[in-house]
Parts: sequence; structure tokens; C-alpha cells
Amino acid sequence: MDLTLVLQGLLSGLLFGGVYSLMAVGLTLIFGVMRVVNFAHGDMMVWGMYLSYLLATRAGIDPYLSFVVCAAALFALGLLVQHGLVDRVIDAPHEMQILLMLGVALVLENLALVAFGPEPTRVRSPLGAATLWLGPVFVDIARLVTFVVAVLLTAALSLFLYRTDLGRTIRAAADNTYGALVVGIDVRRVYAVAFGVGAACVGAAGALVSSILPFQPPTGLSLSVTSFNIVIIGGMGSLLGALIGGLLVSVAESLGAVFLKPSLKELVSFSLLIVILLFRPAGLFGKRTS
Amino acid sequence: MRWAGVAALAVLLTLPAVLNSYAVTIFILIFFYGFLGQAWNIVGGYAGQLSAGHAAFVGVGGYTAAMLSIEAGLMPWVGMFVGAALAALLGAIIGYLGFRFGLRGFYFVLLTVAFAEICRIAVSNIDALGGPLGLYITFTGDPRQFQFRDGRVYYYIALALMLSATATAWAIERRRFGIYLAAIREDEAAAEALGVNALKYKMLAMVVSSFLTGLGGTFYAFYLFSLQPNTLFGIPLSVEIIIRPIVGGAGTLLGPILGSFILTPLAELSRLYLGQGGLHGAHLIAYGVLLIGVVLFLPEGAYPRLRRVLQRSRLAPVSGPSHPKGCPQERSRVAPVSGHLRSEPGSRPPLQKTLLVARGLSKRFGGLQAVAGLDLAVEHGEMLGLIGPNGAGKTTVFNLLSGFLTPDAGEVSFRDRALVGLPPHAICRLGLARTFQLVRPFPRMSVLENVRVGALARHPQALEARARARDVVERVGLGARAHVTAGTLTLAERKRLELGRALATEPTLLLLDEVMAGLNPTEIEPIIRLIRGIHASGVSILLIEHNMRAVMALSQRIVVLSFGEKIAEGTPADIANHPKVVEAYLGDEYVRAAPA
Repeated sequence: MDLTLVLQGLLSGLLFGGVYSLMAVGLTLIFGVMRVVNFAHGDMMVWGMYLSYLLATRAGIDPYLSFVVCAAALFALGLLVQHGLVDRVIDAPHEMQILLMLGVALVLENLALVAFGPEPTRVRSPLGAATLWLGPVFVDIARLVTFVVAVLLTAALSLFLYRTDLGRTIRAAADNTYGALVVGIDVRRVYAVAFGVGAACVGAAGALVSSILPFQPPTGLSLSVTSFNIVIIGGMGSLLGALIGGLLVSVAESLGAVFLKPSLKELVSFSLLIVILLFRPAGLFGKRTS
Repeated sequence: MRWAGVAALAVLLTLPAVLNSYAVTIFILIFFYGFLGQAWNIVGGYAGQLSAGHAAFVGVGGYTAAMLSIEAGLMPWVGMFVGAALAALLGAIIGYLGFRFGLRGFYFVLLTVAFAEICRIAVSNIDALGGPLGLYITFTGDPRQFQFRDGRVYYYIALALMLSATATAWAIERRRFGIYLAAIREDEAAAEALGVNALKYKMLAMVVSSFLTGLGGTFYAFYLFSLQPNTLFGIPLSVEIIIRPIVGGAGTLLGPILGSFILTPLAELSRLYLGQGGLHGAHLIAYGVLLIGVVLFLPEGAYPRLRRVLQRSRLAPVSGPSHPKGCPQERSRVAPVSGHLRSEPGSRPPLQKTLLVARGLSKRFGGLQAVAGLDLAVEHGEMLGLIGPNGAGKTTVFNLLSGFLTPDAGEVSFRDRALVGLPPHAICRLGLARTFQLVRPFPRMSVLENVRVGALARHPQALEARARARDVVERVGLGARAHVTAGTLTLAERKRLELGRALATEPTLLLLDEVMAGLNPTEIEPIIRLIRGIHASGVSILLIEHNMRAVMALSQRIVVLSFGEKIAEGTPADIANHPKVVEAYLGDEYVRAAPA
């Protein structure tokens, strides 16, 4: 095995992992706060991609700028989904919540199919073609920028959760809903904001990868499944777990593509998922609950 | 109802004579998806284990039969059973991993999805199986090769598949198997406590379900003449399989079929009329909206609602179902308590040895030593009280004895059998039954059905168990409420139900965990009489109770726990005056201040 190839795989995996982390942070935030698994997560991300595509083709805005708009739009969508739908089943059995979100996923994915058709698309960005050589390996500038922005956004989210009043309120509600109610927190508003922020994460993540990853409506499903893998591996509800898990899964898939073959790369993350599910269901960084 | 079924069947059998070929095709899909939904329903509906990877079984079944036919010339009529067996094996593996490792809800969903995806990726990468392009079956029109020139043959095969899966579900539903699955779905721990081997029955449900689904794979492959990994193993097919029973009513016999009659034509027509206009995803949008609507407005599915509407229209002129048999004034009626259990005393020779012995029982939770080296003995025919302040470890002791927790150290023997390491259902079957402090009725079952779950531990025939359960329901004073849904009972009634369910397992030793907590004095009096009656009929009793008057009145002997240790033991009179006991309950200041 060529060492350069392995190094290259490691590097691209790591750089792409920033997006995985951002996506998983959104999912884990939603789960941590209201114990609801957002089955529409990947489909929301695909909408982020198509929004950045529209902004690039119709208004000529580069995805590396338009991600802010995409995040804002997805924030609104998340807020709506929480307020209009999830809130009504927040106390229902988990199965019902899963089915509800599955319904939302079907609607979002196929609305995209109706609106944009089944052909794969990609957004052109001037950064797309640039590369930088670091000795024997090259760095794709688009991936590097994506990585840096994704990591900065994740850091900003942590700051928001740990340093602002609203962020602390969200964490309080995540820790103990009744406690939060008792001290006068408007839990429904917190839930809506948390869902919005979680969706905004994938909105931004979608825009950021729209020039790297060719996408089509069904991409959402595989992105959802990948985000589930990451949060289970990192630990449901753990921000750190999502961050590290995202990098880990991306590197594992990238190395899997190098060592096995590209079409088998997902096999690596699914196998990792099963091992974690069976032997450490709380994930690498999750709190153990009996 | 029966005539409606026969009429419907007659119509379905004659329909192909009058339908055009497109309509026949739609009916084939209705039956086929109804069949897959019914197969899923056995594990996803009745057992409540939400598998989202059933496509894997379709894929394994279909690929096996197709490969055996292409490579070995084996008739698909035989190959379909080989494929189904392999699918069942895969189901057993997934089920065992999921159930053994206690994966529930979202985690189980993900496990099933992960397995299906692994199968899909693996098959796409195996060239011998056709890789991503899949396999194609050459059309010969030979019936022995599962190929027919007349589409109506597929119609009858699909109908037969749907009917056989429904017959299987019907047979399961009315037997102990089905009743146990419903109990597991409602509350697995409570079911275990009543002698239900949850792992075994969930595994069985998974195996039956995956076997049937595997049969469907062969039909799918030989109806379409092609197999692709992305369609046969993909998540979209799993969603198609799940959505019909959910919309129709998961865990009901006709729900999956009704769901398929609603959704399949909808999907086909929207595919036909909207898909041609380039609107590919239109029918899936409709699915999504329906799914959301069902969850929000019809969470049990269409069939239960339909059944209620039909029943109401039939009953309306008579009396109306809003007046169930139980009238409020009947509720406090107390069953005769002097009677004895159905199983006569002679059937259980009273051994003169100690019934239950626990030695050195210890359990630690993190930094808390909940139970520390406890010795406990219950004699045959004894009524022993276990008391102690909040947090003394009483309920932990119950959990250790009944198998819900494994002790860190110590041993338990019951009728000379070692209990440590046995699962709760096995301990229940040995004759040690328990109630839960926070009552855990199966909320959507009736009182009688709740108690029947317990009775099935000794009477495997559903009818006989029902008769036994009826006796027990009378005995605990819930006769007038037998057909009321358990979720609607008052607390006092729930406590009686909890007691009745445990009693129905015909225990030698009954562990009662605060059956009087939260009741008012007028409700407590009859419960005391009831417990006395049970004891008089030959059942030994170990009870945890905070109501001192009741403990003192009932117990022959009392053991006092404090911080996990036994601090006193003796007759009620001894205990009442024991300084350590008074200290444990009231603090040592009180002991010093109180007149001796």
C-alpha cells in the first residue's frame, strides 16, 4: 500500500469530517434537548444544498457566502417543524416521533425531487479547482475552507450554548425539562429555538459541501443515516461526541475507500455503528444511562 | 363479521374474471404489499419492535431463490423456502443482537437499518450476484419456474400469500404467543414479572416475520424478472413495508391489509398520473403527508377507528357503549376472601423446610451500598413484613429476589433452587411472583386481559387461562370492571389489578411492594382483608409496606431495613418497641427525648 495514498486519504477524510461534525452537532443538539431524532436531518441538509445552488445560479452568490442565508432559512424551517408538528407528539411514544419525522423526511425529499428533478447537481465555486501541495499530498482548497468554516461554526455554537443566556437556557431544558419549567423557562420556545439551531447547522453544512459533493434528492437519506451513525458512535446528545465522531467516521470512510474500494466505504461506518450499538450504546462520549 | 369475510373473499376470488390487466396489476401490488405489511406486523406491530430494515429479508429471499434457479436450476417453488429460511436466519441474528443487548426504540431502528444497508452494499459489490446492476431472470413462461403468461396467476399467488400471512397472524394473535407479544409491547418488565420470556417470544416473532418476508422476496423477483440491490435491499422498500400497517393499524389483524388497500392504489395512481408529468416524487409526498396525518390524528391507525365506528353504528340503538358494565357503586364491592385458590392445597405439599433463604445479599449502585450483606428467610405459609425508612433498600431487595437485579454478592434459594442469575420470568415460573410499587398495568389491555397474561404462566391454553383470570378478577374485587381498559382505572383499582395479575401466576410466594401506598383508609381495609384471604389460601407473602397499622395487623414477623442492613427482626410487638427501629424512623434525638 502506497503511504502517500493513505496520507492523502487521511487528510481528505479529516477535512471532509468538518462537515460531518457540523451536521451531527445539529442532530445531537435536537436530540439532546427534546429527545427527538430528526429523521429529516439529511433532507434538510439537501434543501440547504439546493438553496445554495439557487443562490449561486440565480443570484451569483458563492456558497461560501450564501451558507449564512441557507442557515437562516433552515432555522426558520426547523422552527416551523418543531412548532407545528413535533411539539404535538413531544410526549408520545418514541415510535410515533420516529414515524412523524419519517413523514417529514419523505415530504422534504420528494418536494426536492419535484422541484429540482432526479439528476445530480453540484454548485460551481471559484475555490473548487484550486489545490495546494503540501509535500507529497495535496490539499483541496474548497475542502480546507469548508473544514475551517464548519469547525468555526461548531465552535460558535458551543460558545452560544455555554456563554449566552439563551444557550444556557437550552442546556437547562436539555438537562431537566421539569426543572426548567419550574424555574420559569418557556420550554416550548426553547425547543423551537433548539430545533431551529439544529436545522441551521445542516443548512450551513449543506451549503458548504454543495460545491464539493454532487447531490440529488435521495442524497438526504444517506446523509441522515450517516448523521445517525455519527451521533450514536459519538454518543447521543454529546456535542463533543458529534464533533469527534464526525471526524472519525469521515476518516474511517475515507481510509475504507483507500484500503477496500470506494463503493465499500460505508461498510466501515456501518460496522463501526453495530459494534458501538452492541458494546457501548451510550457512544464514545455519551453519558451512561441504565 | 365472519360473513363479511367470506363475502370479501368470494369477491376477491372472482374479480380477475372482470378486471382488465392494469386493474389486476394494482390488485397484485395491493396483495403483495398487504402481505409484506402483515409479515412486518408480527414483529413491528404485535411485538412492538420497530424494524426499519425488513427490505433485507426481501432481498435475501429473492436473491437466494433467483441464484438457486439461475445457477443450480432449482425450482423457485423450492428455492423460495430456502430463501425464506436464510432470511429467517438473518432475522434471528439481528433479533438476537438487538434484543439480547437491549436495544430499544431508535437504537433498534438503527440496528435494523444498518444490517439492511450492509447487505445492500455487500451485494452491490459481489460480482457473482450481479453487482450494482443486479440479476435478470429470463422469461420462459414455465409455471415450474414461477413464471406465468397470464397475470391472473400472479394475482392468485399474491392473494394466497396475503391470506396465509394473515392466517399466521390470526393464529398468533389468539394464542398465548400473541397475548405475550402484546404484553411485551405494552410493558416488557411487567411481562417478565408475569413469567413471560420476552427474549424468546420477540425472537420467535422476528423469525416468523423474516421468514414470511423472505418468501415475498421470491415473488418480487419472479414477478419483476429482475433484482437490483438498491430496490430489494434499500431503505425505500423498508419504508414501503412499514407504512401500510402503520396507516392501517399496527398490531391489528386487518390493519396491514386495510393500509395496503388505501395506500397502494394511491401510490400507483399518483405514479401514473403525476409521474408522467415529471413529478416523480409526488406519491411519496402523499405518503409523507399521510404518515404525518396518521401520527397526529389517528395514532392507532385506520382499522381500529373503522371498527369502532362500525360497532357504534350497530350498537347505537340498543344502549350505547358509553355505559360499560361496571357501575360506580359496584366498584367497592369486595370479593369473598375466605375462598381458596383453584389449585387445591393438596397439590403443593407443604415442605417443612424454609421456603426462601437469602444469604449475604449485597448490591451497590455507584457510591451507594443499597443492600449490604442481608440475610433473609421466609418460612412456608409465613406472612413476613419488610419495613424501613425511605431509601432503606427494600425495593432493591425485591428486585434482587425476583431477578430484575443481579446481586454483587450473596445467594438466594427458593424451594431449594438457586435463584441468582435466573431471569425474572423463570423465577416467576418457579412460583415467586411480585408486584411493582409504581403499578405497571398493560394500559391498553382490559383488566381481564391483564390478568390473563399472568394466568398463562400456568395455563398455556388461552381459553383456560381466560377462565382462570376471570376467577382471579372476581377474587380481587374487579369483577365489575373486567372489561374496562386498564389505563382508565383509579389508583386503588390499579393496585388490585397489580395484585390480581401476580396472583394469577399461582405463586407459592408473593412479593407485595407497597400495595397500599396512596390509598385512603376506606380503600385499605378491603385490601388488608384480601391479602389475609390470599395468605389463608396457602400463599406465603413477603410484603413491603409503609402503612404501619397494616403491617402490624398482617405480619407474623417483621424485618427492618435501614441503609441496606437488617437492624431488627421479630414479632410486630417486638419491632414496635425496638429502640433501633424508632431511631431509624425518627432519628436518635427522638429516642433520647421520648419517654422510655
